[in-house]
Amino acid sequence: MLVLTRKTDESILIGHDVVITILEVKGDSVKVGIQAPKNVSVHRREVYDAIEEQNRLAAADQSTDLLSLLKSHTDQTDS
Amino acid sequence: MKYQTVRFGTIEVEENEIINFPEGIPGFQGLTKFVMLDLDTYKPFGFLQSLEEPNLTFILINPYDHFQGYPNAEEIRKGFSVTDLPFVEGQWLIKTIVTINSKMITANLLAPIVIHRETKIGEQVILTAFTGLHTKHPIVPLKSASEEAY
Repeated sequence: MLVLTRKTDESILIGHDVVITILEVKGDSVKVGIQAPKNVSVHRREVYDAIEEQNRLAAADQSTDLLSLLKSHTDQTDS
Repeated sequence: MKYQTVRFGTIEVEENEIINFPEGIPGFQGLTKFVMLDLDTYKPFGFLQSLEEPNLTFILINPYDHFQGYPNAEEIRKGFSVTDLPFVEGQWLIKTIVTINSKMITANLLAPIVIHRETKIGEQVILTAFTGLHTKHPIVPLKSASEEAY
């Protein structure tokens, strides 16, 4: 991990197109501004991790019983 | 061309049916080639099957059949980053991934699967701009699109 120390209003350039600017520092909180092209998505780390985790859960327990499990749920609702 | 799958055996997929996820799917970044499977037996559920990993199948559901007020395609499309294709009504397919166990079925409304129909480009879009969306919304009750709401 590259570690840089910045003050309020200072910036970091990532690649040629992504700019991170420190907007405000208040106690433990840092307000960060991000400029990035439309094809680069920006997310809070914990949100991205939650998506990854849920995708793994959705794909997990992938025994061949998955389809009969699904079928038993759909059968119940037909009644 | 034929592809092996764990759950559906050998499937025949035309080149123009292959959906390309240029950035993969979070947790499965290296996998970019998928196909949508819709089998009557499992309606209202559909499947996103990996063509590179036979054991990887995501179960999909149409969120608009089960959740009132879900963001529409035009709003969701703003988070689609892998291409710059403009919004055209009807061109964007929105599905949500379902997690299932013996007790319950939940849908991930925070990060739908978004597919541009014409170019067959797909992305899992994270909807951080909307409040109230998370990864485990129970689907209760289950009903197919053709049934009326109670």
